[in-house]
Amino acid sequence: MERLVGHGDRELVEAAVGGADGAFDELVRRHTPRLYRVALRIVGDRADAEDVVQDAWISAWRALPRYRGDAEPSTWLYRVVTNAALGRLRRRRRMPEQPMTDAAAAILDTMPAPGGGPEAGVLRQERGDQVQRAIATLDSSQRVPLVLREFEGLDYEEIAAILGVGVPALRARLHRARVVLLGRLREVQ
Amino acid sequence: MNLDRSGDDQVLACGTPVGSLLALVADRAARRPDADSSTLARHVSGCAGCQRRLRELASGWEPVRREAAREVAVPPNLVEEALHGLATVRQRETSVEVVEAGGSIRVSRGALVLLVRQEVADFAAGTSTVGRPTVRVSADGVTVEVAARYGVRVPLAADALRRHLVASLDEHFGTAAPAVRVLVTDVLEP
Repeated sequence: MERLVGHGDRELVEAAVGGADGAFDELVRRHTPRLYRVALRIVGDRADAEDVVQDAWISAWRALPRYRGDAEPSTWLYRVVTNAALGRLRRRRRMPEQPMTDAAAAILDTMPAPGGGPEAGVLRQERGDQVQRAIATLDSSQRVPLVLREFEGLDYEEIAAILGVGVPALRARLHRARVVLLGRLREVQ
Repeated sequence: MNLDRSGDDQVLACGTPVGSLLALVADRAARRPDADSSTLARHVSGCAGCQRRLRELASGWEPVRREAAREVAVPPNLVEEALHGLATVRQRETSVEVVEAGGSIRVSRGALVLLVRQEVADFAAGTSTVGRPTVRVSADGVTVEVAARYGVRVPLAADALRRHLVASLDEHFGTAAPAVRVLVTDVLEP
């Protein structure tokens, strides 16, 4: 297994396509934290995010025979986890709504305690809570690009590739998402 | 802050849409600034009205920037759980289960690979058309990559091998037989 650690993602995917389970397992070790982060920001619930990550890896493994290498492995994995998270949101919509405060608290629970004294920590936590609540109110077509851009720091072209839309359409979605988010934050401040 | 729900439609006296300034603020906060915003950035550096509005927007966006900078702790066992779940699915989806009266038999992926390799070897010995097989088993079925001997008609040889494997797997597993794909990936020297 040590041998795989130094390999690039593309080599690992190619080896996994060739049937090397160890190569795919190395991708799981390498990218699970990132997939979890994205899933959590989109679904806003820790347990759901863990399920999303599990679903995403199984989907990715099943899709391996059809992987053609036209996208970077990281782009492909973002696409897989995004689809898994959207699927989770769709299923959740058919179930009773989870209170927004629980979703935000679940995210904050997973974060390290803030520095700068207890009061600053509480204030920061409140602000973070507000941001997460506001993000959770966005439509998923706005929330997903916002998470990929503002929280994952991906560039426009990569996000457009992940979502399967053109860059102008992505810019329009992001524009709306930012305006709505800023408006919601203003309402609570 | 003077941005309301219709604030994205506002245009400043200099002609700059407020929405563009918000994009500039957000893109600056993102870890990879957008190259397209450089023209606007140049304008803003010489426009007092834009600078004033930019400061307001930046102040409003600051909680988002801070939230984005926070670390998200990953549950300690998540990687192990993902690997375990994957192993279970692999085992289930790449093995073949033959159900018979009174019980069932599960043939592992490893056994399936060995069986297919042997069948390819038998076919190659009988026809001298293909060699060097690589066998993969996935959730989609069995994929066999072979080299065709120089001079043979590749489509015919591949189809003959595929039919041979399908017949063999049908004989062993009946309706549970996995799908077979044959890919000719190389040519053997004469």
